[in-house]
Amino acid sequence: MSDGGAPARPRAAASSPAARRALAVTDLAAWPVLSLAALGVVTYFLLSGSYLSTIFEDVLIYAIAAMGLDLFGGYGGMVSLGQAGFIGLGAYGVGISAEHGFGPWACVGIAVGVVIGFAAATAVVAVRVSGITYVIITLAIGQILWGLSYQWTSLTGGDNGIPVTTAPSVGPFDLSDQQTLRVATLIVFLIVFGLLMLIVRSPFGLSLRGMKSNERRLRALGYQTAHQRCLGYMIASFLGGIAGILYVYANLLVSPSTLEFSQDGYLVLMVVLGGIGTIWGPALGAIVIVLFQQEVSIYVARWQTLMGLTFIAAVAFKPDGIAGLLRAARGALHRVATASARPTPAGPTGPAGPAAGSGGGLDLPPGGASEDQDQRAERPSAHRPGAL
Amino acid sequence: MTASARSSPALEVSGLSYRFGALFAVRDVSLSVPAGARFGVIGPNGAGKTTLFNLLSGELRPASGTVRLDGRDVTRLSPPRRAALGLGRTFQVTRLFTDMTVRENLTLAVHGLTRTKLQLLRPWRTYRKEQRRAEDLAGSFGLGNRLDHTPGELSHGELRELEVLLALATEPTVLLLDEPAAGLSPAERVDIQRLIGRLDPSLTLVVIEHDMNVLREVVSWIAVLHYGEVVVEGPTADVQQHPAVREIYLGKTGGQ
Repeated sequence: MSDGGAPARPRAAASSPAARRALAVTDLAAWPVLSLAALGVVTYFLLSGSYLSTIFEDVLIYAIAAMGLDLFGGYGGMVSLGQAGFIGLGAYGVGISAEHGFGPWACVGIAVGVVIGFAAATAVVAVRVSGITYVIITLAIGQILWGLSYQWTSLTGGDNGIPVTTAPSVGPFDLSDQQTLRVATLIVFLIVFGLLMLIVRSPFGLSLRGMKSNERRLRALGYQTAHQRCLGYMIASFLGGIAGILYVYANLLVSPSTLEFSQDGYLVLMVVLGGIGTIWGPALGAIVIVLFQQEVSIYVARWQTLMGLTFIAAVAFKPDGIAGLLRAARGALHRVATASARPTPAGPTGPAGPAAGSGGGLDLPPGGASEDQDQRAERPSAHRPGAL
Repeated sequence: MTASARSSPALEVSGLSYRFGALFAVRDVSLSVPAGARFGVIGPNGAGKTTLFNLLSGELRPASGTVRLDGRDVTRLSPPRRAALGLGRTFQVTRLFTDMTVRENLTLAVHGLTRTKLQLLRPWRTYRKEQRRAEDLAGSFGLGNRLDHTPGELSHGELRELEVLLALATEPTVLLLDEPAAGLSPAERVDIQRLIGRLDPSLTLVVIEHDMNVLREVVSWIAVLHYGEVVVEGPTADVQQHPAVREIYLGKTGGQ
C-alpha cells in the first residue's frame, strides 16, 4: 500500500541482495499484517460486549469524521474547525425527523439530504477563502449550528436534546440492536477508509495536494480549483454527516454537546496527533483521543490538561504525529537491517537504485534514511492547526 | 497545433494597461504575435514584463485593453479557462509542487486539461497513457532518471527545466516563458536555450528576458518594454542596434 500523503523518495539501497530481499518482504508484509492486527484488536474490543465496546464504537464514528477532515485539511490544506457541525446536522437530521414521525430509513434519508444540502449551500466558503480565514469561517458556521441546536428549542429540544429509539433495519439485521449496529459501524468505517485511500491516490487526490502546495501554478495548468475545493468540502462534510447518523443511533440521543466547539477541537486533534495527510493516521488519533476522554478521565481529573500537554509535545517534537512515529520506527529498523548486512561499504545496488520501481505501480512506504526529507516535505503546510 | 493555418494572430494585445495605484506598470501596450512566432519581450527590471505576462495569463485583470487568443477575446477569462484554450506559462520564480515528486508534478500537469482530473476512484498511477506521457516528457529533457525525486533534490538548472516541462505537459499552442534562464549558470543557460530551440516549431513562443544575450539566441522578434510601454519593436538584429535600447541598457548618463 503506497503512502499517498508523502512524496515517494529514493530509498536507501540495502547493501546485500539477501538483506534487500528481507527488507522487501517485511515492507510488503508490514502493511497487511499491521492493519489486520489493528483491525483484529478493534473488532475484538468492539464486539466484546464490555464497556470498551461503546468506546470503540465512538472511536470508529469519530474516525470517519476525522478522516474526512483529513482529506480536505491534510491533503487540500483546508483545515475546518466546523466538522462537528456536520456530525450535529446528521444526528439532528435523524432526531428531528424521527420526532416528526418519519420511518427509520426516511430519517436517514432526510439526514443525508440535510447534510448534503447544507454542505452545498456553504461550499461557497470553501471556494472563496483559504488559510486561517477558512479556519475561522468554518468555526463560525459550526458555532451557528451549535447556537441553533441550543436555542431553537421547539425544534431541537434545546439542552435536553432529542432521544432516538428506533434505528433502521437492513434486511434481517435490526440496527436498534447495539451489537448489530457496531458491526454495521465497522463496515461503514471500512468502506469509508477504503474509498478515502482510493481518493487520495486518484488524480483528484493529487490535485488536492497540488492545491495545498501551489494553487497558482495549479490554476495555470488548467485546474479550476473551485471544483477541487467544492468537491473536497462536500466529501469531508458528507463524512461528518455519516458519522453523525451513526452517532445518534449509538448514543440514542443527540444534544448540543454533540456539536459544541470542543468537539471540533477534538476532531482536529485526532487528525494532527494521528498524522495529518495520511487518512489512517487520524483513525489512530481517534483511538488516542477517545481513550483520553473516556478512560484517562477516570483516573486523572485534569485529563484535559494532560491531553493539552500531549498535544503540545506532539506538535513540538513530532509534528507528523503517530504516523510520523511509525515511519521513523520503520526507518530505524531499516537502518539496523542495512547496517548489520553491510560487510563491504560498496555493495552492488543492482536494480534497486532510485529509479527502480518507478515504472510499476508498486510504491512502498518510505523508509530508510529519509525521515529528514520526510519532515521537510511535510513542514510547509501553512495551515497546520497547531499554529492556532 | 492547428493555429498556424489561421488568419488571426495566435496572441494579440491591444491598448493593454494596468496600474498599481498611480503607477502604470503596463501602459497602452499593443502587440501582435503570429502563430509559430518566436517573440521576445525585453526590458530592465521593473519595466512591467511580468505584469504583462500576468495580464496575458489572466492572473491580473487589465484596467483597459483586450487580450485575444487565436482571435478570441479572453480578457475576462480566468487562468484555467485560458489554459484550456491553449495558453501555457512558466514563472520567473520557480513555481513547482515542492512536496511532490517530479513524476507527481508532471502527472498533475498532464491531467490538467483532461476530464480525468476530477476522477475519484482510480489511482493516478494506473493511467497508462498519462503516465507514459509524463515519463516521455521527463525523458526527452534529461529528467528521466529524476522522476522519483522531489524538487528539493534537483539542481537549479533541472528545476528551471521542470518549470518549462510542466507548462509543456498541457500541450499549449501559445507558451509564455517568464525569464526561463533566471539565476542559471552560463552552462545551464545553454541547456535551457537548447530546450527552447527544440520546441515544436508550430508552438507560438513568447519569452521574457532582461538579458539580451539569452534572448537573441531563441527569438527572432523583440519588443522592448520600458516603464510599462513598448518603446521599440522589430526583428532581433534591428532592435539590438536601436539607439533607444542602447540608452535604456547603458544608461542616459553614459554619454555615448
